[in-house]
Amino acid sequence: MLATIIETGKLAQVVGYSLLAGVGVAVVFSVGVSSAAGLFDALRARRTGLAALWGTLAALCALAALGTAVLGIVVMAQK
Amino acid sequence: MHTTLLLVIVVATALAFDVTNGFHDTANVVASSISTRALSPRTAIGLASVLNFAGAFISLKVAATVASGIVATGAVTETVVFAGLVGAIVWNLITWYFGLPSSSSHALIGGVIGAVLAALGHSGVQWSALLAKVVVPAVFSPLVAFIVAGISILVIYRIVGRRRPGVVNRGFRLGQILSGSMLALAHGTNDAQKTMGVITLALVAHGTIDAHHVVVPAWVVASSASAIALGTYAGGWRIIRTLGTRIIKMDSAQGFASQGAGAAVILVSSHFGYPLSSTHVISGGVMGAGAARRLSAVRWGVAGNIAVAWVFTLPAAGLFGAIVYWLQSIPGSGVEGPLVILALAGATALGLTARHRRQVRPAAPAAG
Repeated sequence: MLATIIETGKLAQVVGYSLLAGVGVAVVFSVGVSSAAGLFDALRARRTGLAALWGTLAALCALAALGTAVLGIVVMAQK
Repeated sequence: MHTTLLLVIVVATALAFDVTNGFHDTANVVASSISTRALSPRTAIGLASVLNFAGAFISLKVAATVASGIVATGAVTETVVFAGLVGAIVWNLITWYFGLPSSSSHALIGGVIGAVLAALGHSGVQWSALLAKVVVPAVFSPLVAFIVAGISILVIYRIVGRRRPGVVNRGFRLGQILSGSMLALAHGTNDAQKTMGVITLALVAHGTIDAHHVVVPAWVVASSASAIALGTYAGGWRIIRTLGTRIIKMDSAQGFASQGAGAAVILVSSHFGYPLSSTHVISGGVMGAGAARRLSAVRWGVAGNIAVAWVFTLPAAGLFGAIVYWLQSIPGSGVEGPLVILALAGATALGLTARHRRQVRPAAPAAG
């Protein structure tokens, strides 16, 4: 009786997408923060090549986190 | 003439509720950013206010659920909607006064259901829809936010654990501008839509909108967005204190994880039309981010008080909604009842304001 009332499929989708978006952005952003920390360490050690690598990764992660946020809004706005 | 006046009163009361929703709930959205000093209180509240306004325009699925999915839309009258709104406002003000972050959304739904029960009996409520769209998501959503925030913070600590804390803290404070903004947007999306739904319900009762083809008018969207943004700007300092520091003391990574989890759960649920409580979700996220690090970091006593307020919100707001409906029915079934309730509410507000002023008035300096 209860199982027929509860929208199990929709709720499972809510859990799945929330996990994907919430944890996904956390992973991407933390890699970005870790890369930024690596960039500062490399600059301090005057290792320019490594600094460029960390910097590029940090920028990519920041863009990916922003992109995910924009994608979320676009999906929401679709009626 | 009388029915138009009644509709104006109901719409004005709904917008007043939206303002109280803003200052009651949005504190939850900015509490993490303020407690980790990612943003100053003024900036956090200003940003949340603007994004609440913008968020209200994103989706209408929750409004549709509130307007046509929970009560028998065609049978509801404007006086029922009015009583529900007043019941919700009364419960919101009581919990706000005591600093308890209970749910404005469930207060609104509880108030309307209480008034519908008083007016129409059991047949006026779509019980299975209420269970599926409100009660189950109410239990479910804070748990999901708890799990998402918990997993997020564990992953974050794993990735940045060996990095310099200074850079990491600064990075996550910047990240909190993004996560806090998304949470504010999500709050505007989900919460403003509930007021839109209730105003639409009143418009159906008035005959302006066809009960079989419910559409939310653009002016309803714009006015609800403005009201919640105004309420947000007015702020809710008591609740900021409760959520920002009294549940857990958090670092910027935990703030980021809890806000990100909250935003994800609210936005995804709004997309499916669930009228969630942002208060429940963000509290779940805050507790998840705290408990994943150390179970004792969460002040479970405060968390328990919040949980009790949650459990009581639907029935308590429902009781107030029913009482207001009965009180307003005493003078008659028209506009007289709501006018009497408004006069009583105005007199109570004036009395409380005068009392508050007497309490905060500074002592006169000694003569001499």
